[in-house]
Formats: sequence, structure tokens, C-alpha cells
Amino acid sequence: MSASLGTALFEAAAFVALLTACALPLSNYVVKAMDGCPSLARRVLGPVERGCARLVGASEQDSMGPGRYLAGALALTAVGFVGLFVLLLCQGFLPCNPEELPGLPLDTAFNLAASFATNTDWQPVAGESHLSYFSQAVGLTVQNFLSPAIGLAVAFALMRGIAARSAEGLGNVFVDVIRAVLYVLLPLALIGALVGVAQGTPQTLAPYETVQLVEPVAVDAEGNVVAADDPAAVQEVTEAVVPLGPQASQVSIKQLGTNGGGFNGANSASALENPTPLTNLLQMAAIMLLPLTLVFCFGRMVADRRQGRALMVAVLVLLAAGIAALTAAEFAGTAQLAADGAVYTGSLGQPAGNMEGKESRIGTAATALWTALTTAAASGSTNGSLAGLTPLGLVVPLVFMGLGEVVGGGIGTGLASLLGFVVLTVFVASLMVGRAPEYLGKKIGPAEMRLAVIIAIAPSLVMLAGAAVLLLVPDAAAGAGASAPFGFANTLYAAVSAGANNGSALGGFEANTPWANGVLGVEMLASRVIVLACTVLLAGRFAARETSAAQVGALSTASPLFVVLLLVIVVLVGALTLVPALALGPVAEAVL
Amino acid sequence: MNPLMKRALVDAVRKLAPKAQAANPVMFMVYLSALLTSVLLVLSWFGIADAPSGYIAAICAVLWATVLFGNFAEALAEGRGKAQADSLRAAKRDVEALVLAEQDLAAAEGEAQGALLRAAAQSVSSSTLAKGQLYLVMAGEQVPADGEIVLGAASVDESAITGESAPVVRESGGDRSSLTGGTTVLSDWLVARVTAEAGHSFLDQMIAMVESSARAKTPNERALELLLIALTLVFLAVSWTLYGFGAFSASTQGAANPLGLTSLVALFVCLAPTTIGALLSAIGIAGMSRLNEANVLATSGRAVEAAGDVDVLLLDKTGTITLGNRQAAAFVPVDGVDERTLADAAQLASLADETPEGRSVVVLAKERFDIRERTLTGAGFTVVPFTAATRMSGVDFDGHEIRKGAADAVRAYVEARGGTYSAQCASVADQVAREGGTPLVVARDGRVLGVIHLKDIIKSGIRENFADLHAMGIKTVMVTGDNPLTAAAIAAEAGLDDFIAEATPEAKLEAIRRYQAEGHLVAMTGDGTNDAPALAQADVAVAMNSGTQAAKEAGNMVDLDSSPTKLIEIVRIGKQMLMTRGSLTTFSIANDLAKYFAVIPALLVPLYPGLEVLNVMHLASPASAMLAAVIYNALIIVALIPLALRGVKYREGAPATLLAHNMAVYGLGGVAVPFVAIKVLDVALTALGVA
Repeated sequence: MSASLGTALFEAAAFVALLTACALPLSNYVVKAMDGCPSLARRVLGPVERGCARLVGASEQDSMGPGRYLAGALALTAVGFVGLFVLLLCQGFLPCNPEELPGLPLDTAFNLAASFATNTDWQPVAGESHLSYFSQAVGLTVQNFLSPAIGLAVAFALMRGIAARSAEGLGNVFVDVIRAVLYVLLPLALIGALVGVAQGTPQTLAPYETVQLVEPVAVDAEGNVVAADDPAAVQEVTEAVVPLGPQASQVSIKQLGTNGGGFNGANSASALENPTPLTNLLQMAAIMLLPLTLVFCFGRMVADRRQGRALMVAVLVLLAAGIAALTAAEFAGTAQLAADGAVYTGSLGQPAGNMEGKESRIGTAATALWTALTTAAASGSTNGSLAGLTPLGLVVPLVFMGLGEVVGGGIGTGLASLLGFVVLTVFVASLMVGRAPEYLGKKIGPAEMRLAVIIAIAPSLVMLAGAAVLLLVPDAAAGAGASAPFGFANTLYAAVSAGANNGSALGGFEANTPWANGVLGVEMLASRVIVLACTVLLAGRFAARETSAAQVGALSTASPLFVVLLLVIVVLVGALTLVPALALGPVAEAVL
Repeated sequence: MNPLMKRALVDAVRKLAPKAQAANPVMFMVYLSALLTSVLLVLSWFGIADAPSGYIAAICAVLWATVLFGNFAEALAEGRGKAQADSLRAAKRDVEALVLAEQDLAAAEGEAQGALLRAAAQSVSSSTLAKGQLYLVMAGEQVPADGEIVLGAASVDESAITGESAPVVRESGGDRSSLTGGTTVLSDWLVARVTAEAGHSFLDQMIAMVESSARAKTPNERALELLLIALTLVFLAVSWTLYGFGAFSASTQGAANPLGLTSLVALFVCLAPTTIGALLSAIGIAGMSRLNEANVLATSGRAVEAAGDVDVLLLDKTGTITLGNRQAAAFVPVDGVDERTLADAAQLASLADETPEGRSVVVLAKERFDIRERTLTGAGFTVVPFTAATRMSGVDFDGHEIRKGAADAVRAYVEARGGTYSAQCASVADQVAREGGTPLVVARDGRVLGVIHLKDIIKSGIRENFADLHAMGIKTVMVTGDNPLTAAAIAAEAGLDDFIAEATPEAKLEAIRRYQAEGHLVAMTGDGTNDAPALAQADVAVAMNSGTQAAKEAGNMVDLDSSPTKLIEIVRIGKQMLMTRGSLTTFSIANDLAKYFAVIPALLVPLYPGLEVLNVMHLASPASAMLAAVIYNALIIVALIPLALRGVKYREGAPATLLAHNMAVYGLGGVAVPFVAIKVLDVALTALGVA
């Protein structure tokens, strides 16, 4: 291990440790906020909560069964989806559109609406060149609050179901969503936005600005940017357009809500969204903060914090393995990169490694760490080009997403996916010790098993099916943007990203085609709705189960042994499904 | 070849019927895959082929073998039950039944009652007997139907059902009044009322149970099946999408897609959890069969499974925890009496007492003071037997009265005769009770002599047994008619977790309800009619075969041996069945890792030669790798049949230890075994020149 790799891993470890330490007290606050306990935020925003609740006719006392809770969650998702879809189609007629951008085509609008309503934030088109301020702020940013709030609500429904002593309701979905927005997402996003503005991220409704370039550049016949004195230059460029708009407010919630959709196409690699080392650090933290917090919340909700800690260990082990593998692969680069000194992969005062696709002010280590975090949590925001990753480095994001939101995942859905795997593990482990399966006093029968396996395998099935369809459509080769295995990896990545509700992409993939928009849009909706629905139904099943007595010598679900088995099952069931695809994509690329 | 095997082989082929296959979703998919490769094979003969005809034929043959091996496992498990059912059927034949009218019963009285009844009875076929009818069975005749004895007592040979050749006594009234069709009356005669008609009798139920024809999938089995179906679907998706992946990868290189239908079908069968899928039902059937071998009949598979999950055992003290009888352990004289005098009086009082307790007093007196047995036949000796009213027994001779009995009974007797029941005696009696013994107070002529310490003898080894159960998380509760003091002492000595003293049937029922409300699953044994409500309430209720019909109907298992310790064995069988399922599931899933390393390079190397690095086993060729993997997949089913039938080695211990052990054996083993086996098969295939 080179010294610079060691430093990078040490920094990553310190970062994750600090983040986990922050998640612990935050989990206490989140549990209290969702339960409606008094807090500073509640004192200020209490009237808003009551007003919103009255507006939708919801009351905390009206605790819902699984059917109504699910109907509410799906209704909110549907309203978000349809609302955003219509808004994007009609963008040209709506206000706050200084660049006079037209409405989006049907397929693009469908894809984008599905994407933001499902917390995926896959973007077939770059925001700054296709979306008005109104679409960004009222369309995307609103969904960036609503979709994680629905996820958070559903996660709490599941936790309440598991913790329920006997046939209790799961809570009120509308009250939960309102609280999630008001007390959890809004205060954190406000802090993030203020820091962003202070660091230089734009927050304005003024039109885009045209600026003179300090040093002119030129474009060649194919439209590539070249030096001004390049012989291939056909036209000199002396000015640039700087996209402005309400960026800081959207950037902070895109990170906090595991959304990931940037204001600009370049996402957080852009100097506007991510101007300083401080914003880079804080945004990275914001990606993983709430997913980790929810794992601790689980321990608090079931009144056994060891359970939360055990799951946290499982998540951190997977996360650490991914970060280490990705960072090592990027520092090592590849033989091709180093050949003829094409890319300098050594260390020059600061670590270099594979600088391809990296923003030079951010560097290899911070990009690798960010990439691991953004695919472990279902965020998808990026601070570099993922297409520039080494083939083996690319395996890590694919595996993280292929596991189906287990390593942190999206807000709420991540915890639900993890618990789906926990149920499978409990089932197998219990049988091995000769007991009927039971998790935290709740029996696991066929009904629970059915829901848990669907949660665990649905994303895998959706992504595999999506990838196969995208690869078999007539213009598959054109959409993939390159020949196999690179083109295969591009398409595979898109399908996996959509199926995992992640939203990150490899640049080579031609995303804005009717096929891609349609297939990926359906994937995102299917994956999200199936996981949400099964989670709420599972919560209902658990709530309806009597809690059995704590037994002497019962199988401990907080022991290291259990965590090991959980990891084995996650890897065997979750990751093995991707092995053939990985072999044809990044692995084939690595051995070419 | 042994007939069981022969039968299983025939049944394995018979089970190829689609209907039989559809019952097992995982194997049904393998079945469809085998059919598909058969079609591909036929097509290949006409030149429509995605691979060499020989390769398709080999894959096709191995897939059919996989299906047959799965069938064979199930058939073999069922075979043992079928053999047992056949022998039971021999006992179940139409016999002549002697039907009596109600008035015949009333009319026949006196010495020659049996003969009178015989004369009045009408002979019909046993299959026509209706519920509620009365029938008569004479010595040497087979009992025509299940019944409740209303008149008479007889010794009955029940070996046809229990396998126990010693005859048992059956009589009207009390807890031994049930009569089972198919058994034989050896002496005397019995009149019984039909409780089950032909086709619904105990014997019919038994045959159905051991034959597994009445076996429905248990909830746990269905839950596991859901997991297996899910995995099957995933791997179906993996293999079929791989076609698209391959097609794309090949087309951009201008090559043909190397991933043919045959190979993808083989890939699917390799990855699907066929090992556990093929053995799942065999494990369940074998579990039932092990229970049958322990001479326990369960009315449903669900009961066996519940047995594995029981966490409270209500155990009758007598026979389970202690030997049937209490024994005299010491003479404790009081009020200045010497021990020998007490022993002498106690022996006299017990000479006529034929109960084991009474005998033990005589034995102790002989051991301690060599007081010989005397005969009480002389003049002036009057034996006073124990009655429920006096709760004392003893002897009167030469104007003396010797009595022994429960402390309060003797106290009343002494005080009525104007004697004093001293504080010393009371405290000694209390002390004995506190130590778990039963005090018997001996008095002569209205004067207390002392106390006999009757002690319960805890069965040897039972304490360790309970410690094991405790480690497994099972709470043991002793049920006894003793007073709380005695009960507590015995419970402590035997290492039980709790006890129910002065237990009445109502108290038992109450305790079961209380445990269930706390979320426990409760198991109990019972025999009497008054146990029926508690049996009906318990999750696992084992009725003694010697017990009443009501008890048997209320329970969900019948113990043909009527052994009180059987409950512990039943729990073990239930747990072992769950463990076998879990271990083989783990093994099956763990196998996939090695199979991936064998199959993926084999399939993809033609596209990307560089992927040869994944061929860590260095298998000779893609064809040999593929064949080795599917052959391993088929053979492992056969290799694991004995384990599925026998069950994994049952151990008791803390769950963490068990989990670690089984994970190491079946998890790590499941990863390692196929690497070795597939390599060996590959070498063998290459050496034979097959591939």
C-alpha cells in the first residue's frame, strides 16, 4: 500500500467514524421528532404542523392500519409524480423561466417525474440547460423533500410495527410525512443551504450571467473544446454562460434526502454546487447522515439499542470494504492508463492515482470516497465522472447498488431493505439452531417471509430485467455509447442505478432516448413502489403479531455471529445475482 | 436390494407425473428445464442446435437425473411410513361385530352376564357399525371399532398398534376406558360404545399419518419454500437476462452469442437451490417418521414443528422427574421416643400396606434395625386400610392401635383421643416437607412416636437433561399434587425452572393460558378425561395411549408407549427437523459460490478470453466445467439423502454455540465441498474423454 493510499484510507475511516458519531445523537432527535415529542423545532414549527395536518384532515390520534398507511404513502407518491410530470410538460407556460426554456418532451418528462418522485434523481437531461427555475424549485426541490419524507415515514411505520406489543396502528402517514419534512429535513437543509450560500453557491432568481473568459479557448470541428492556438480550432470562444438560480437550497436537500439530482448536469463536480473543500466535506457527510441515523433510530424504536448497533456494524463493514476497494483501485489505476505515461498515476505532493474523470481540485481520494458513499446510500450525486473510474473501481458502485439499498440506502427504503435481509437471516439462523424463526419477539411465518423476500430480491429482478430490455432494444448499441464491454457497462450501470433508485450514471450512456426514458422510468417506479408497499405490509404483519416472551438463551440478533451471517446472506443473495453481469462488464474490461 | 429401496426407485419414476412435480415449485422448474433440454435434444437431431448434440444429450440426462434423485429422496422418506402403514393395514380388516341394544345391557345381570350378553348380541360386519352403538367383544376376538368401554374389564393385546407385546388392562370407568379398533381382547369380555366409525378410526388416522397422505405443508415449510422460490426466480432472471447480455456483448464485436439455450438452462439449474428444494419434503416426512419410530403419532405435521418451538414444558412430577414412588428414607422419632420403637411401630403399620411406599417402610426397618417381617394373621390383628376419609392406615392388635398418615390427619386422630400433637413433631414434619419429602406421622394409642421421611427419588440424569433444555431456552415446569413446600424442594433438586403445586386440572389449564398470554408455546402430557381441556389448550399436547378417548381427542399427539418422558424426546425431534432444514438450506446457498466460479468462466470465456482468470479451479474446458457443475448438483442430492432422512446431529446448547457450529459445518462446508467435488468431476470427465 502506498503512503498516499494509506493516508486516504485513514482519512476515510476518520470521516466515517465521525459521521457515525454524529448519527447517534441525531437518531435521538429524529425518533423524538417523529413521535411528536417537544423540541425547539416543534415549538417554532408546531403551528405549521397542525395547520398542514388540518389541511389534509390528518390527526395523530388517527393511527392507521397497513392498508390505509400504504394507500396514503402511495397517494403522496402519485401526487408528486403526476404533479411534476404535468409541471415539466407545461414548463414553457410557467413563471420564473428567464432562459425561456420550452416544456420537456413526453418521455423525458415521464422519466424525470418518475425519477424525482421515487427519490432516484436520475436525470436524462442537464438541469441548467433544460429546466426553468420554477421547475427546479417548485418541481424538483419539492420532490426532494417529499420523497425522502415518505421514505422516512414508511421506515417509522416498519419500526413501529416491529416494536408494537400487540395489534397497534402504524401511525398516521400524513402526520409522519409532515413531521419528517418540518422537523428533520427542513432544519438540516436550511443549515446546509446557508453554509452553501456562505461558501459561494448561487441562490438567486436572476437570469444566467454571461462572463468574459480570462483566457479564450476554441472549439474544433467536432465541437470539442481545444486551446485557442490549436491548429484544429475552427472557432474562438471568449465568453461563457454561468447558470445561476436557486442552487444552494436544492443542493443541500439533494444530499440530505439521498436524492442526488444536481441543479447542474455536472452535479457536485461543478464549482457552483460544490465550491470549497468545506462544502465537499459537508455534502459527503450529508449523503450518508440520515441513512446511518435511521439505523440507530431502529435500535431506539425497538427499545434495544444493541439491535441498532449490530445493524450499524453490518452496514459499516460493507461500507468500509467498498471504500477500501474503490480507493485502492483508483490509486492503482490501470496498466493502460500508465502506459507511455499517458496519465501520471504516481504521487506528486498530493495523491494522484487515476485522475481521469476527476475534478482536479477534488482529487482521487475524495472522489473515490464520495462515489462509494453516494452508491451505498441511494443518493447518486457525484463529484467526478464515474465513467472515468477504473474497471475494477466501477465494480464497487455496481455492487453497492446491486445489493439493493442495504448499505445505508435511500432514506427509509435503505433501512427497510436491510431489515428485509435481516428477516431472511433470522429465518435461516433460527432453523439452524432448531427454533421457529422469530425477530425481536415477532414470529416469522409465511406471510412475513413472502414480504421480506420480495423486499430483498425485487430490486435485483427489476435491474436485471431493465438491463436485458435496454440491451435488446433495436438502438441498444447506439444508446450504450460504446462497444462491449464498455457499452455494456454503461447500459448495465443505468439499469442498476434506476433499479436501486440511485440515479448516478456513466457519462457514455445516451439517457435521453424514448427507450431509455421509458424503461428506466418504469424500473424506478416499480422498484420504489414494490419496496414501499412490501415494507408497509410487513409492518402491518409484525404489528398484528403477538410479541412472544423474551427467552432465556434465545438466538441473539445483536451478536457478532449474527452480523457475520447477515453479511454472508446479503453478499450471497444480493451480490451473486450481479456476478455474470459484472463479468461481462467491468471485469471483462479489466482483463481485456 | 432392500425392498424399501426398490419401492422408492419405482415411486421416483412414478412421481415424474406433472401433478406430483407441481407440488414442489423449485423441482418443478428443474423438471421444466429437463423437458426443455429434451426438446432441444430432439431438435438437435434435425440440425437445429445451439450446441453439439452430445453436449445437449449429456446436460439433458443430468437434469432428468436431478429430478429423479429429488423424487427418490421423497419416495425413500415416504417408504418407511408406507411399510409401517402396510403392517397397520393388516390389523384393519372387516371383522364380525357383536351389536347390543341398550336394553340388552340393562337385562343382563349376575354371574353369567357375559354369556347372557353373548346370547343377546347380533352379529354384523364391523364396517356397518355406527357411532353410539354398543358392541360386545369376547376373549380372543378382535375389537371391531374404536370405543369407550361401558361395561367389563379385560386384558387387551395392543401390539398391532403400539408394537408392545405385553397386554394391558382396559376397563370401564376411570382413565383406561378407551378401546382401539384392531386390538385383540385376550381374556374376559368388554362392552363398549362406538366412538369412531369405519374410515375415521384411530387406526385409519394412524395409517393416513404414517403414510404421509394427510401431510400438509407446515407454516415453516411454506415460509422456507417462499425463500427458495424467491431464489429460484432470481436465478431464473440471472440466467435468462444473461442471454440478452451475451447477445449484446457478442453483437458489438460482430460475434455470435456463445450463450445457447442449453447452457443457460444448465446455469439456471446449477444456481437454483435444488439441493434443499429436492430434500425439503423428505426432511419433513422423515421427521414425522422419526416421531413414529419413537412410538408417537402426531395428528399433523404442524404439531411436530410446534414441538420444535415449544419453550415451556409442563412435566408431570411422577414418572418424569421422580421415580413413580416415594420411598422411606429415615425414621425421625419425637418426644423422646427411640428410633427403634418408631421403626417397629411403623413396620407394623405398613405390613398390610401393599403400596410401594408401604413396602419401602418395611424395607427400611429391616435395613436399619433388622426388624423382620411378621405375619398379621394371628388372632387380634385387624388391618385398618387407607381410606380417603381418614387418610390414615394401620393395624389394631391386642388392644393397641397403630396409625400412620398425613400430618394433619394424625393430628386430628391424636387430639380426638386426648393426646397431644407436640410442637416438636409439627416442626419435624415441616422440616421433612421443606426438604421435598413427605412426612408420615406414626402414632400408637393416641401418642405420636415420630415421623417417617418419605422421599421422592429424582431420576438419575434428569438434572443434566433439564440443564440442557434450559440452555436451549426451554422452561421446564413441574406439575404435582404435592404441597408448595415439597414441590419447591423437588423442583430445586431436579433443576426445574418452575412448578405448579397442588395442581388440579383447572390449575393446569390456568397455567397454560398464563404462559401462552406471555407469548410462550406450551407442551404437556395428559391421560385423564379431566386433562382434556388443558390438552386442548396446549400447543403441543401429548395424550397417553393408555388414557381416555377424550384425552386422545383433545391432544394433537398420542404416545403409544404412554411414557411421561416422551415429551422431551418429541421436542428434540421437532428441533432436529428445523435444524436439518436450516443446515441444508445454508449448504445449498453456500454451494452457489463455487458453482459461479465453475460456470461463469465456462460460459463467458468464448466472448472474453481474459475471463480465464476467473477459472480458479482450472477446469479443463467449458463443456467439462458445465457438465461437472450440473453433475455435482445432481449427485449432492443423493449424497445428502441419508442426512435428510436421519436429520443433522442433534446437540443441545446455547443458540450461539449451535449457530457457530452449524455455520462452520454447513456454511463453510457448503463453500468448500463443491470446489473440490467439481474439480474431481472435471478431472474424471476429462480422463474418461467425455468432455
